[in-house]
Amino acid sequence: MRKRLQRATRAVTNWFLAPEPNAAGNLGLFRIVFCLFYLWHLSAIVGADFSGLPNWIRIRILLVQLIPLDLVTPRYLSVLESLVVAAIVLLGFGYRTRVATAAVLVLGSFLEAHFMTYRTERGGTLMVFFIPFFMFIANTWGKTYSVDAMLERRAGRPVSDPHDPGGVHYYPAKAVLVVLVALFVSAAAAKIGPGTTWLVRPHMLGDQMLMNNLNGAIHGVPTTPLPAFLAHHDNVEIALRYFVIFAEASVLVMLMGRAWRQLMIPILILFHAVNAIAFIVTFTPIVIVYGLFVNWQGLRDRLLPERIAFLERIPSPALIAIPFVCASALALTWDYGTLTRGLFSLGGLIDWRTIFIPLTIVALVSLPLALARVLSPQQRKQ
Amino acid sequence: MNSPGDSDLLAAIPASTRRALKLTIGAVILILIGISGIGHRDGGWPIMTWPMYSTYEPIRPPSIASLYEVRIVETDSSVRVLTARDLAPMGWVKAAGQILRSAYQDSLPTQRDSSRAYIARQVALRIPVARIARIEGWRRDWRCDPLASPPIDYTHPLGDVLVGAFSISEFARTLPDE
Repeated sequence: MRKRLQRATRAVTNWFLAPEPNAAGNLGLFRIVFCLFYLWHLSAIVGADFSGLPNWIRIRILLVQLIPLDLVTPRYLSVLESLVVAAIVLLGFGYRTRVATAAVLVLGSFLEAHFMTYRTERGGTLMVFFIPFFMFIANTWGKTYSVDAMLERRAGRPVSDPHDPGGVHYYPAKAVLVVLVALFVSAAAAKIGPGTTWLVRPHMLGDQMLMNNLNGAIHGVPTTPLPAFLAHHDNVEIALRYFVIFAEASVLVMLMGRAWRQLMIPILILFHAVNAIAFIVTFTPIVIVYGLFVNWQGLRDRLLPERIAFLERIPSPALIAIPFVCASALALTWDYGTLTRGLFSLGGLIDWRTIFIPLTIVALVSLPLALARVLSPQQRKQ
Repeated sequence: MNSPGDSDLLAAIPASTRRALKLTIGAVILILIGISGIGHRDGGWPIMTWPMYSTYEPIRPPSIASLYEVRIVETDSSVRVLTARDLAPMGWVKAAGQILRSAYQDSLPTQRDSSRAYIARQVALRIPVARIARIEGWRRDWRCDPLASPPIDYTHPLGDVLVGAFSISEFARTLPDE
């Protein structure tokens, strides 16, 4: 029994520590992408709109329920938003990365908890909580592409090579993956478990999508004929209900290795894209999780193979000052007008739905390549 | 899972990294237990599950669609319109629409008043209170065909109905001192 437990523990730790190409660089670049995405996410939400929500529409969320409603003023939410923005900017630059990660984790989760009180889907939880949580524990995403790393190098201390494939850099990403898989499996399980209406009620999905479509139309969102098609064709509607369960449960294969992960990511992006574009299902913030498994370093090597020389010429005090100046500037202007917010949504061009247009193109291009990798026995083993 | 191989990768890493890894694995196990144990409860966020429509009771879409909007009549008789989309981003629009509806058509007075207090606060954020004469609730109805695309013929509304009005001074006490 003890030997079995030891074997299992070793298998688990070795899975977490399995090498990943460009692990160090990928995670460092992901940190920057994560921060830009987070700022984009926040740019669409004005905290003050959540001030004074009626009690009857609020969900009681841990900790936030202890705050009296009178205290949740527009100013309070605005200050909280600005603090989150400042912390994200510092994290993006990678200055005092661990402290910045802790600030993003605590302040960001606290802010999001206020939004969560307003009944909504929870696609943002992995972004605001689980990613910074595991990154905080591991403290590896600031080892490359960060002010911290540059200062370490200048001080003559050893720094990580972005091409280092060591699993020691990458295990927090695997931890996030396990949570992601568990949540998808919970979605599949809920559809077949007790109390479900998913497989029981006739026209369940068709009617629900028609209602989504109608609600979207009422609020001026462009609609598509797909919900009507679904409601018209019972066989397709029933098949889709089973397909969704299958798709959600099949996320489990992402635990089987890189080739499977690379196959599932474009499939999941297409799944979310169809949901958003055709069925007005808003679960967009989840896509940042897939960014954890993109070979950002490989992209960088291809697009920008040279070292960025001008960064080396910036004196160290300026390297430290720049993140603070940017953080202050963004935080102080975040709630004045729409200019700062507009920077991250390209003036409203990138919204919860349009973001899927480029993502869908990338997913369609990468899907056949990923499929070929899974079908190749040699690559599947990686 | 990847094959663990014969080597023990754990032994080859520094003690501080080993501690962080053990902490990570421990946290993952606790989170998985949390998800399966209390994940279905709303208040346990960020520990949660994704029910994803699994318990929705399907509703046949209605034949008339209604949009509630607030029209703020200013002291100079000009009118500004506030819709659910002005109050909330897309993921929250449905809830914002429910608040607008509740503010004018709720049969429960306490619920209606809390919705009105919220609207008063949002209006005060956008327009100086002294300039607000009254806050009207309007319902715009359209005949709709849920199976058509788009399901609403926007060009032919059935009409705009005034469903109620209140003065911001009724809720002055609940406005933030800002």
